[in-house]
Amino acid sequence: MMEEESVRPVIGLASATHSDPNTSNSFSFWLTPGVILNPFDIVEAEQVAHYGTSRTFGIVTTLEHTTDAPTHLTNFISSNFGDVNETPNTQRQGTMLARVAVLSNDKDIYMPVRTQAPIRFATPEGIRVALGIDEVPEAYRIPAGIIQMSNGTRAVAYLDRRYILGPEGAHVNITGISGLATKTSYAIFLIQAILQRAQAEEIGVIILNVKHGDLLRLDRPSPRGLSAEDYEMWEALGLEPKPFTDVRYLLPWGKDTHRTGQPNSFLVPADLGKVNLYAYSLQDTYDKLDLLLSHVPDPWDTLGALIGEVTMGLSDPNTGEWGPSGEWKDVSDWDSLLDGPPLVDEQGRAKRVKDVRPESVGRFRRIMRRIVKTRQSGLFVKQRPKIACNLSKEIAKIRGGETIVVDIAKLTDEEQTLVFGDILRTIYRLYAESAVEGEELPQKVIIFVDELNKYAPAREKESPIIEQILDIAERGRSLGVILIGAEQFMSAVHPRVVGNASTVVVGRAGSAELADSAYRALDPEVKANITRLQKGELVLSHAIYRQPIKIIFPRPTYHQEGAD
Amino acid sequence: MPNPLSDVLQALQALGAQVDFLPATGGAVEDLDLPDIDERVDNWLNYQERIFESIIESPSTGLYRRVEPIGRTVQHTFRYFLDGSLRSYFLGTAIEEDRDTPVHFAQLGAALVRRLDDGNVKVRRLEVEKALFLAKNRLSQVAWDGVARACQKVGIQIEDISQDDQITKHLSGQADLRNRTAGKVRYRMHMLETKIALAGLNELKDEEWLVVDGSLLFEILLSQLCQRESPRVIGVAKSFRRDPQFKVGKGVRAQRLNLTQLLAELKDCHRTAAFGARDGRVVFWYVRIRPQGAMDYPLMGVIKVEMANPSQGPVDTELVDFLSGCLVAERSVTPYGADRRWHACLYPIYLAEQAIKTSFLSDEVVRSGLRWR
Repeated sequence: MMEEESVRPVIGLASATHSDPNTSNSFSFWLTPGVILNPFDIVEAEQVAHYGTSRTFGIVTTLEHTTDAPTHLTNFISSNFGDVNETPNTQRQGTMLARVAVLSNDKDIYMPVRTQAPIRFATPEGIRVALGIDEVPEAYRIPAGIIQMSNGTRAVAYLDRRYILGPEGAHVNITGISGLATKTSYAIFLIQAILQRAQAEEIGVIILNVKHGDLLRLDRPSPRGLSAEDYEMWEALGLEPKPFTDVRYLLPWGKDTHRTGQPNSFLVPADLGKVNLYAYSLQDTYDKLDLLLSHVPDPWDTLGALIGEVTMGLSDPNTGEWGPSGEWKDVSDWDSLLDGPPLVDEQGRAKRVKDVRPESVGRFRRIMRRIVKTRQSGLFVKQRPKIACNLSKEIAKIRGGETIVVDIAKLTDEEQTLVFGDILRTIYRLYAESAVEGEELPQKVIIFVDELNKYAPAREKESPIIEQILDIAERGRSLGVILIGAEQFMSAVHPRVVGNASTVVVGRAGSAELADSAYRALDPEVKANITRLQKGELVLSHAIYRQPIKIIFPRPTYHQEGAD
Repeated sequence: MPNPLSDVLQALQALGAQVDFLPATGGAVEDLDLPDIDERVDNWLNYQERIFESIIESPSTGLYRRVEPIGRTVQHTFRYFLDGSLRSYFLGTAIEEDRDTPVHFAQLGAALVRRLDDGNVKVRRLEVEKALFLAKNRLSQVAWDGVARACQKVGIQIEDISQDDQITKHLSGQADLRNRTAGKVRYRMHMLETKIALAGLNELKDEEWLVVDGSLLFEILLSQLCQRESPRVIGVAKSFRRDPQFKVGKGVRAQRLNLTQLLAELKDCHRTAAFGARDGRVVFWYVRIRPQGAMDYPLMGVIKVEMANPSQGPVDTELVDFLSGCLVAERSVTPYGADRRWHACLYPIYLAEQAIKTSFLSDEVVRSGLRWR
């Protein structure tokens, strides 16, 4: 180590002053002129130890340029009272000062770094120690990106699988306005890393495609191929740059599908053998009406009560499956539900249903008619044809190693909520309730959805979809159901959903957004740096890291929209 | 961490073995500088002369001359800058029989900095010494020898404040020894500056000049400079005596100006004529480096420049213009806000002073390290 240290240049010396002391948590150092350093670079300081020396690692949070000029007026006067052409005969004394947040010490010594202690860029090995990655067994390491430092040093940022897939922690939240498809690209990259590093055959993946045809060609290689730089990154991460294998696409039924056979999607995956259509008849939906009406305010629970009556009336009392009976026996599709008995009398007026008054029944009919009839995308059908599947049954068939992409890009908001809720409820029941011996379920299921704020908004107290998401967020860790959510603004997502994510990834965000309490775990300096992130740069906060780090990641290998 | 002043304590213990000691209440007390000390020193060094009659330059005979700033990027002339600094403390009173002497401790130093081509400076030489100051004539030979031997052993200086020198002789008599100490410490600092200045002169390459903070009239330095042929060194004083008078013109046009009158008419980027002092061994003039309108007082923004003149003949007007132009360019940058004399301060000199001061032990360390028990 001594020999190595003599080779690695000292980039500055620690500096403690009367008014600005170094502490167990932070230290400052001045930089040798000519050294280029940036926030998020990881440095090491020589530190005392019981035997020999130790290394205290830290991450640069802020850089300051300080001079001996007490005021700005001093500088103004120094330029001959504001002459911009005045050349300083002597350069004013100044230095670059780096503020560093302590990450760790390799001998667990958390004494403040002493003034004049030599500072160096950390090595890749040092970075692993700094972040605590060295304590994660090799088998649990999932590459999550590359730490690129100002001196050119690169190191892989590993996540601890036990904090991604459970049991120690779970879930990933990705937020930011970083740019086109950055969040989605990162989520897909991370899923690929998980599949390649964990036992893929034990993991099932469900991906919701919410925008254009972004994720409908996951199994197709990019026509452009990878740049040399991206290839290098994949290699450095120890991952194979390849598209997904074993992918199934579930695409929604549309208004014209019965005529054209085409799904209601922005594009149709090339391999039709991997494509299934899905649609919702009343029979597929009667026990999910709460999800369909999640967005409708229902302060007195009148809609909830009526939904309960409808669901009960349309269920076989013996099996709990579809089976209208009694006054509901004539209900077979959406039209007969909304326009026939028992919701409507012979004169076509809304009727009281048990304790639910006719006015509330009327409201239910109006809302439902809008959702499933007048403004629907074609997803709701009178009777589901044979070529369209029941989504929840299709999801329930998930196998280990399989990736199911569910396209909801062209659906209305209510339809999207229904589909997402249906998936969550199906998976949750599959793991939490059925648990039948011998059932071939993957050990873990990863669900990725963008625009999470639509389904779990921050300011809504409760709704069926929020409850469903909270169930996954709070209990998914132990069940093996992992949620990877993404959104533009973390402040817009329910705090319990974000709070349960043991890994948070933040792309560029505005200062107003970062002022929200959702980001209170981040230091002000880190927040300031987040406002300046470039496209493709992310700040990664993980349960085992002492401080958030900045990473880059390679372009995905699948055929992204716009790549041709 | 060991006491960094254990060497001084050893010397004091040697003294304590011979005399009684009445420590200063609360430990070492820093001596405050006399008000306008630089101005006073200029007075003391220059006390023989008050009226300056001869303009000692040629060919110009005008009282004021405009000079153009000549910056580093045009011609990098001033390469070396020298300053001295001191900090002294009253430790207590040593009492032997019916005699007593104040005991002072001082840290003093001098630094020579070199300005590089890009305008940054690097410390070239820096010497800091610790010294004890006592009145020898108030102690027995045994006591003095004891403390002197101890000082020699631990490598610190000892100075006799009862002995007159070029500065101390102007201070109050033997009765106020504490007052004399201020002069003695300053004298010691000038000695150190002289040593470093002479070493600095030997480092000068062609066309390079050394700028010394303050006056060149310190006799030990001046006599050394006058033994050389055209030493490329100037002294620049931020504060200077205000009582000199200047006799200019001849015959009926002759007039006598006091300093304020002389400098009130001195415009920005102008200099006065060069006058002779010490029989022409030194020439001096004033340069206004900042516009009078931006200052509070006519004497602000003006520096006094001294140059050794071994030939004692008239100096070349062109040289004085050139040096003055180089000095005007030194107005950028300034320690405004950090030094009350910023308006006349040369920044590299300020940096040299900072280099010394940051080498001194802090007041806290001195007070704690020299606590007399």
